[in-house]
Amino acid sequence: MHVDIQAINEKIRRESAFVERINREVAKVIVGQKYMIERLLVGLLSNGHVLLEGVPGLAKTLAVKTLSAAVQTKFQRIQFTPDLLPADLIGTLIYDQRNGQFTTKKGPIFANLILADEINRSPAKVQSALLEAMMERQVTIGENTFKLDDPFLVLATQNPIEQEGTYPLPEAQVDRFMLKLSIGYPNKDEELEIMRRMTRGHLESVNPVVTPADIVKARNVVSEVYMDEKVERYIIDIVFATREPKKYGLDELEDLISYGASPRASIFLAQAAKAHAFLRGRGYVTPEDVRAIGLDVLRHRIIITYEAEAEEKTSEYVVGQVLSRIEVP
Amino acid sequence: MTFFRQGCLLQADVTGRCLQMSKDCHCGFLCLKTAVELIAMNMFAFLIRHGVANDHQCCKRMTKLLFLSVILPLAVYGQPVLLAPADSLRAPVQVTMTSSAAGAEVALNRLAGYTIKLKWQGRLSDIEFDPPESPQLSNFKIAGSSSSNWVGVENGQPTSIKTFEYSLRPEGLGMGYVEGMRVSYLDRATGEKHSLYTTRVGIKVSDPLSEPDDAPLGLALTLGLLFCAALVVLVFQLEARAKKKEAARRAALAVKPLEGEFLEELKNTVNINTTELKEAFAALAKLLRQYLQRRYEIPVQGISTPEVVAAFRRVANADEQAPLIEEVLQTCDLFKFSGEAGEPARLARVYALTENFLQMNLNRRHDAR
Repeated sequence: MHVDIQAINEKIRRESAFVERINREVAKVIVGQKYMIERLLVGLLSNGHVLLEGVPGLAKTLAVKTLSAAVQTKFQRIQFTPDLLPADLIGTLIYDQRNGQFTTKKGPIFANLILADEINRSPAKVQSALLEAMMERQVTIGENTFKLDDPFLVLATQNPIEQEGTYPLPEAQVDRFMLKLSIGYPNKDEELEIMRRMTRGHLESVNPVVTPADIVKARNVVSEVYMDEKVERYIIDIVFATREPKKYGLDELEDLISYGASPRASIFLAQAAKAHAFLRGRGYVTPEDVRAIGLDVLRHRIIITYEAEAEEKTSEYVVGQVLSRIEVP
Repeated sequence: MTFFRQGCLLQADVTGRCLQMSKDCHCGFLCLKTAVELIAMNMFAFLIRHGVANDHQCCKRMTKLLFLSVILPLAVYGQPVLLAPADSLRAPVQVTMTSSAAGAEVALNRLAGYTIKLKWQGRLSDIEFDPPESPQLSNFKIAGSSSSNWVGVENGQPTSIKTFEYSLRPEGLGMGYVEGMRVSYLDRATGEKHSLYTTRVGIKVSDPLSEPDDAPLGLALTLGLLFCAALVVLVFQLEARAKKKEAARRAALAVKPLEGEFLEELKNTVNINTTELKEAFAALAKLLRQYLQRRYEIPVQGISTPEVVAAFRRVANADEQAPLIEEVLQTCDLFKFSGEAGEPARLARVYALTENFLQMNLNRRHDAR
């Protein structure tokens, strides 16, 4: 199949111009954290939800709010607490005494960008309600089904240091997130700039530079990004290496992996790689895109064994070994 | 006369034996009495045998015989016995024993002396010592032993000292001990046996002393030997290195250099006139990656093009060649992954760039030789 790569490249360059504008606007408020902003955009463009893990104070909420402002989308922050109910999330029916009927009161989930803060603090039924909405992109309240707005992106956060009184997400639920980001501390220069900005007394305002419709359009362009068969096979090799490491010469990983990545990993890896290529202004996916996004897609999809835990080998180590040993086409 | 003389000699012999017997059995008076009786019997027997003629002669001969065979030997041998007090009249000998080490400390390479001294008032012959048992030692071994006697007069009294000396060789550093020993003896006068016990003696074994006479010589000898050995080793190593270098040079000359090998492979695997441009770009990229892995040990298998270029910049430290590598690999990536059909002109260009790169490296290696 002959691909008019020139045309695609041109289209990509045109449609991805807003990315630079978004980055500029976000940079007015957020210092550094380019990795997080880029991954949030990958999630936005590939229609994948993102799980953010990091200690408090790393501007996770601020970054999402700022991004939301730059994209001119509806943003809702939901603080997950142990006493939260599903109705608090998706909405409920309220009896109206005036007309004697039930009316639907939509919950905070009816927004474009949802920040589910500390998702692991709520009981399983609330988590399930959110995750169902994430997958189905619709919510049923009473007898009525309501479709969620597009773009719809859930950005959930987890605090890795406070585990008491939490309800850890089951692996099957974690698998629904396209990306899991591990947010780190800023460097010294960045922290100095953060300190100066925050003590200035006022924050700069963020102007919307793109509409939700532009995002939807960009998503369609992302899906057109060309992925050669070599790259597709490369993705499959990576995912299969997590299931059958011995066949790929990774004998030492055999005892570390309890369950490898699911087929959802292949799908998300391909989608995220395309989004990554789009952000680079390229109309085709290269192995570099797959390797750049691979860790974020796979780190929460590999279940390690007790032996791995005893040896203090994490899933990130396993993914790193796979990515470095599978032959790049 | 002959008989008389024989008789006298015989009696003297008998008397002497009796006297000796009296000395040995420590009952001098009784033996002396027996000896006299024996002498008398023998005399009479002799006279009867030889038929002395008359009484006068008999008396005369008997007197002579008595004098020669009794008095004279008594004078020679018997006096100590006669003069010696009777058994019941001599007091038991008091033997005192002391044991000591030559010093409280001894070096590991020296011998320690251990002495047991037994002293008593009287003659040496008054006391008969049993052979002493070997001392029980800790951290020592017996290197030698000896004994000596001393006889003298102290405070007007005859005094005897018997000494047992042991030379002990230390076995290791730390404390060593000579355990208590038993020394048994017989008091000849009383016929009683006694035992004396020494006390435990401790000797500290310290670090060995240097041998003053031998040390300088020994050190010089050791250093000299070491120097010679080092010289020999150095000579051997230099020789081996030279041989190795020569062998490597010959091997390098004999074997085709890596660049030559890859230049040949480039000609064989990449056809710039092919219509399968995509495969040609893929083959060229693979060849160049393999060369970078073999020449610069860059693990190209699991890394992308930007990572390969970054690794090349670090390893090769050849900034002028890095853009060349980057252009070739990125162009190949473009046509490998973009789905584009490929352009013959672009293939020709990257082919030429790769060929120049390999040739440049080949020339450098020739110049280096």
